[in-house]
This record gives sequence, structure tokens and C-alpha cells, in this order.
Amino acid sequence: MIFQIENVLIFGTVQGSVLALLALGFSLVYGVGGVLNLGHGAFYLITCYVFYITSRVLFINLIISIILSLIIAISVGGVIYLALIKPLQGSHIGVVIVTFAFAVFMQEFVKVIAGIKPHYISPFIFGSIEFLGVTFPIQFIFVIIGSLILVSLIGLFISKTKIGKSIRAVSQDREAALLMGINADRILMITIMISALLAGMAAILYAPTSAITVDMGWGFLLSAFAVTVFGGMGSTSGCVLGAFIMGYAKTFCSVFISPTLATVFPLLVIVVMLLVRPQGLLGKKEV
Amino acid sequence: MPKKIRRKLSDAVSGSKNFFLGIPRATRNLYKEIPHQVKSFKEWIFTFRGSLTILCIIGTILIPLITMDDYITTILISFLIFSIFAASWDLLAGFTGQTSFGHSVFFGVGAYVAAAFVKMAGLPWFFSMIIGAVVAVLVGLIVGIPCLRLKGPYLALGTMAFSLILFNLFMSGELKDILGSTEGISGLPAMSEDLIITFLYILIIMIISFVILIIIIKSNIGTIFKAIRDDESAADASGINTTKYKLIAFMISGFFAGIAGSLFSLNSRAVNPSVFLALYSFYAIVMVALGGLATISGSVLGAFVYWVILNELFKPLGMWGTVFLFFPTLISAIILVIMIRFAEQGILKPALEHLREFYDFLLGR
Amino acid sequence: MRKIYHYYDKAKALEEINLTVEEGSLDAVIGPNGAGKSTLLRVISRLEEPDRGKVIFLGERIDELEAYQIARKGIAHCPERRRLFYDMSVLENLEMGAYSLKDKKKYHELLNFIFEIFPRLKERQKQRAGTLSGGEQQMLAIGRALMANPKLLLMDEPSLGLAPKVKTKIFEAIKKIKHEGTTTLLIEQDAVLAMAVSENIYVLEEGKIEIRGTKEELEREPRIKKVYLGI
Repeated sequence: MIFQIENVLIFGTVQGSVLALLALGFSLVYGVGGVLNLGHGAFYLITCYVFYITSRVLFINLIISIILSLIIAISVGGVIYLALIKPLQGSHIGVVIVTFAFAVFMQEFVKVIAGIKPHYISPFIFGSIEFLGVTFPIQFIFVIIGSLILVSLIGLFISKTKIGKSIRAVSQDREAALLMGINADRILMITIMISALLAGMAAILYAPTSAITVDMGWGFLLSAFAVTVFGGMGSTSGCVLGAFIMGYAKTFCSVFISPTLATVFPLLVIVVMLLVRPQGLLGKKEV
Repeated sequence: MPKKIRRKLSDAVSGSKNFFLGIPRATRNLYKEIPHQVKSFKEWIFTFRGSLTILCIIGTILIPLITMDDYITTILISFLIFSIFAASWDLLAGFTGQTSFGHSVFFGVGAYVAAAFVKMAGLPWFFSMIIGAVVAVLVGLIVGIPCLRLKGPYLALGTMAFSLILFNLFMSGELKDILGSTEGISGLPAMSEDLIITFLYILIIMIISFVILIIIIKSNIGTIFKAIRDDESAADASGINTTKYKLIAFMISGFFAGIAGSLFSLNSRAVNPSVFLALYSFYAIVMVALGGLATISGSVLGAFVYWVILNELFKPLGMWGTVFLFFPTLISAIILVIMIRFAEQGILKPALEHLREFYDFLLGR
Repeated sequence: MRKIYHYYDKAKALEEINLTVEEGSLDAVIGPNGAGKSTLLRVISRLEEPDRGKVIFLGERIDELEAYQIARKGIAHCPERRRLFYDMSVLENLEMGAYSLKDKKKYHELLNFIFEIFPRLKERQKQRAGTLSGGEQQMLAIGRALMANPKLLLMDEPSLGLAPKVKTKIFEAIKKIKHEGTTTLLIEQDAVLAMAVSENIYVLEEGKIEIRGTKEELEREPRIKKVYLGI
């Protein structure tokens, strides 16, 4: 029993770290553009498969393949913005449909390239360590530390740099930001690229711990959505907090109740949240 | 709100002032409109659209009867089933403006319930289908209630969450005894000995479904749906109980999606959790976008393009590798993007216009 | 010579406007609620699209540019209801105002100037903009617009919802800004205050410029006296 609590602690932290990376980008994009990007899970998917192909099929050096997969994720983010989101910015539902189509496209594209069988990516360092009586792969440490560094970097970026401040300005009042001479469209593009980078980093850190499959993007998309609904739309700190609460709760469920419940847990959170107080936690009035 | 709809709306509302047992008049009076619509049906057959429709139906019946080819019949069957599914999405999204991305929920529930009743209770397929559809209506209520207050993208993701919940539940190993896990339910009896008969059953169900759907959208309820889509607060201000009508839309849509799902499992004689995947919701959306949003009949064209043209185009390539089997979806995703981006009205209306010119030319007008 | 000339037709709000602001002057547009005053400014800074007509700034047509490009041309718009970045600090708001300003020295000069005319902002520079009082928020909004070192300052109802004492303070500041030589177009509902500071006055009613003239000319008009000045 006592070991199980420690299990929850460690696995929950890992889950929370991954969710924080995914939800942060998703929520930033929502804040800046009012856009719910259904292709967010696809960023994760793409990075996983590019990483898999470069590192396991082409045997490229680990560092280079990481950089390569991140660059591809970011450029896909930029292309998505220019080709799909920008022309349809007026219609929210249009954006949702095209990003949905993009996610389906990516899933099918990956099927064509890599087949539907699950694949495995090797961790950075093999082996496992024991901590608090729980044995877990070393990769988990990379996940936790990597996420910690990235989330704090993003926090600093948002609060200190000029672009970061413009991101906040646009998400608070788009019109006023335009009057300051801020190119809001360009800021949205940068934000989408950041969100792709964060999702890509989550993939690189976390994907080596389990199998990668073609349909995993949806689960990650909805987890990111659940966290943002839970932690408050467009709020950076609420998002990180929400991610960790969700991570622990999910792991708690899977250890003490049932693994099935754990997989549907974030989704139940969405439904319950929407039922109980949709606008309260979503923050914005348009719900 | 366009003027025409506003005028019709005020008629609809004044007709629905009186509530009977909590059911708005507009719902109760549906049957009274039927004789009128039957009369106009007779005139309709001789119009351009009418004759075209009849021609298409006759063509669809004749093709399998003439060729007696099981392969062609199978393709046509899936075309028919998915056109019902697409039309049900169109009613909810195109007409009522409730863009659901979890339509596979209704489809999957219908499929599972119908399969379970045929397999476990040994009921005849028709009753199982109706039960499947009724259960899908209940699911429509369950999904609809939490989603009532949501708009646009939230609604999309909220409904999508439902489909993923069900997928995970049905996939789960722990509930294997009840829900069948990855294997699902298989070994169902065929709907009938002869594939052609099955085809005709499904065709009849499809035609009836479309007639009902078209009657609904032409009735007062349809007008109210459109009013909700165009401007919900204005509709609310005109005295429409938007909550109730949105739920009605979810239920009607769930019913027909449930019928499509039931037919799908009954026809393929098996069902597995993949029916809950986002992919199935995607099918509905792409077919409607192809045919044209808010044109029930566009769904037929969309389903035809997807299941008959796109799918069959890539089948021969399947010989060279299974990868080509994924091409139809891949390409339809691109098509969907292009449709939303450049041709939001779909291909049905422009196609009809061109055909109409040709028709007028034939008649020497 | 700095010239602005608009002539446009906006279905509901504006019908025909023909208005020129000379370099270095402070002109005011007054008029009742719903006359289209705000729309006029929103069209100049391209937050709204005119149906036709043109806006000329420094001899250049600017009505086809995007809103952020117009801001970069040197038109600062201090919008109605302040529209601050409420979750950012006072200093950050001013920084955002200087977004398109590249010159570091000029930035500090402007910052000092703003802190000079609004000492309250200096005291509260670390505070979140949302926690300021109404008057302070208005000062911040004006300061933020000034931080762009604008060639033309558009001010939309700076006295809206403020107590009379605060109003006077704001208008004192506007006078100081005028002394610095910033060309300003002021929109104001309080005609007395507006006429006290401005050179040319335009009266906008139902989307049309009904009367135009200097302060003295307008004071002689009996109708203006009655409706706007209450004499």
C-alpha cells in the first residue's frame, strides 16, 4: 500500500510534466487567437514518428534526430497557420474543421509511411533506477527535468521578452494590441510554432517510455483540452497546476481503481466541468 | 438572420405558442403537414429535382439487379448506410448549427446495441435496428444535455470527448465480459440469404429516412432549427425554447445515426470498438462538406463520392501494398480542407445547376 | 504639412466626413452619443473598414493598410473605454505602447515626460493596470498612446466615466501634450472641456459634420450654445 502511494507520486509527476507541456501550448494558442487547434495532438504524433524514423530506421545521431524532429514539428506548425488557420480566422468552426482534417490527414499519412503496427523508440539511456522503493526507467528523469526546464523557460519568455509580452498583450486585448503596432497575426503564428515545439518536446521526452501508435494524437489532444478546461483557458499558471493535478489524479485512478478509468478520466473531467460550470473555469465569456 | 427565415420563424413560433403535455405544437402538428406534402410530392416528381431523384433511385436499384455482382452490391450498401449517417450529421450541424465532432458515438452505440440484440436475444434484425436507434436517441440526450451551453469549438471538443470515452470503455480489457473488448461482437446472422434482398431492405430504409429528414427540415421544426443556427439569442428572444429544440435536434440526429450504425453492424455481421473512433465522425463531416452543408440530399452525393468513387479508385492499387488502402481517407482530408477553404457550399448545388441547364436544353426550353 | 482627409460612407454610422487636421494643432470632434464619433477614429486606425472614401496621412493613402501598419506609421489611437492590458503592470503597458519605437533614448525621454505629466503613474509603475482607479487608468491609456511618439494622436472620450475633478486633471495633461506639439484629434462628449483646449472644432451629428469652426466662431452659434454649452 505504501509503495503504491509512492507509485502515484512518481508516475503522477511524469504524467503531469507531459501534460503541462502539451496543455501549455494549447492554451497559449487559444488565448492568443481564440483558436482551438485540433491538430495539437498531431504535432505530438509527427514528432514521435519523425524521431522514430530518424533514430531507429535511419540511425541518425540522437541529438541530430531530436533537432530534426523538432524543426519539422515547428515548421508544420507554421505551415498549418499559414495554410489553414489564417485564411479561416473569421470562422471558429471552420478552423476547427480544417484542423480536425489536418489531424486525420496526419494520422493517415503516418499510416502510409510507417504502417499501423505500434513502434518503439529507444530511450536516451537504457536501464532503470530505484527511488523511494519504486523502480522506473531513467527516461522518466529526463521527462521531469526536461519539462521543468521548458516550462520555466516558457514562463520567463512570456513575462520578460518583447515577443512574450506581445503574446500576452494580444491575448488580453487583440484590438488594443493592434493599435500598439503589434502584428497580431504574426504573434499567433509564433504562438502556434511554440505550441508545436512544446508538443514536440513532450513527444521526444515521453514517447521512448511506451509504444507509439498512429491514433495516439487524439488522446493527447483531449488531455490537453481537459487540462486547459480544468486549469482555466489561457491562464499559464493555472494550466501547469491543472496538468499536475490531472497527472496525479489519473495515476491515482489507475493504481487504486482501474486503468480503464484512468484513460477516460481526463475526458470525464471535460464532461463534468462543462456540465457544472462551463464559463466559470473556462474564463472567457464566449462559451 | 435572413428575412425569409425570420418570416417563417414568426409563423412557426405563433403556431407553437400552445404547448401540449410539454410538447410544442410544432412537433405535434408534424403529421398534419404530411397530406399537404404528399400532394406536393406528386407535383415534385415532375420537376427537375424530382425526376432526377427518381432517376437516381431507379439507377441504384437497377445496377445490382443487372450486374448481379456481389462486390458492387456491397459497395452500394456501404454508400447507402453512410449517406444516412452523413444526413444525420447534416441535420445537427448544417441545420441546427451544433457542430458535433463525436457523431461516431451515436453510430457506434447503434451498431453495438443492434448487434447485441441480434446475437444475445436472437431478435430479428429490424427490431434490433429500431432498438439500436432508440438507444442512440437516449445517448443523444445524454450527450446533448451537457453540450447545450457550449458553442462552436467547445461543442466540437466536448462531443469528441464522448466518443473517446466510449472508445476507451469498449476497448478496455476489464469490461471484456460485458462490452467484448477489442474483439467486439461478431458472427451475427446475415440480414437475409440474398445480398440483393439485403440491399433492397437498406435502400428502402435509406429512402424512408431521407423522406422523414426532409419532411422535418421543411416543417416548422426545421425553420426553428435554422433560426437557432443563424442567431441563437435572436431565436431565444422570439420566444423559442432553444434548449428544447437543440435537444430535439440531438435526438433526431442520434436516431438516424443510430439507424446507420445498426445497419452497418448488421450488414458487416460484426462490430468492434473502432466504430467509436474520431475517424467515423470525420467520415460524416467530409461527406457532408463534399455534398454541401445544410442540404440533406447533398449527403447522398458526398457519400457516393467517398464510398464509390474515392474508395474504388484506390482499391486496385491495394494489390501493390496495403498502404494504398489508407489513401481514400488521406485524400478526403485534403478534400475537406479544400472544400472548407474554397467551396463551402459543396459540389451538389453547382452540379445541380449544370445538370439543370442540360435538362432544360433536353426539354427544348 | 500634415493633412488628413477622410471622405467615406459607412452604412449606419457615418455618412460623409471631410476633415483635416493641421500639423501641430489640437482639433476636437464633439457631438451626441451615437453620432459616429468613435467609428470615425476606428476607421482612421483601420479597426473598421470604410465602405469607400480615403484617409490620407502625410500625403499618403493609409486606408488600405492593416491596423498594426497604421500604428507603425505614427498614428496612436487611445481607444474608448481605455482598453488597457489589465493583467500587465503599468510599466509593461507603457512598454507595449512603445512597441514600434526603436530608439532607446527616445523611449526614456518619453517615459520621463509621461511620468512628469502623470506623477501618479510613476508611483504605481509596478502595479497591475487592472487595479488602478478609473482616472489613473485613463492617464495610463493616454501615456501608452504617447509612448509611441506619435505624429498624430487620436483620443477617444478621455473623460468618459470620470469624476469632474479627475476630468480637469486629464484635460490639463492634454494641454501639456499640446504644448509639446503633438498633433491631436480629440473626440469628446463634454463640449465645454473640449472647446477650452482645441483650436478647430467639428460638430458631428448623425454621421455628418454639421458645423465646423474655431472656438470663437462656434460660441457665436446660437444652436451650439443651447445644445452643447447649455448657456
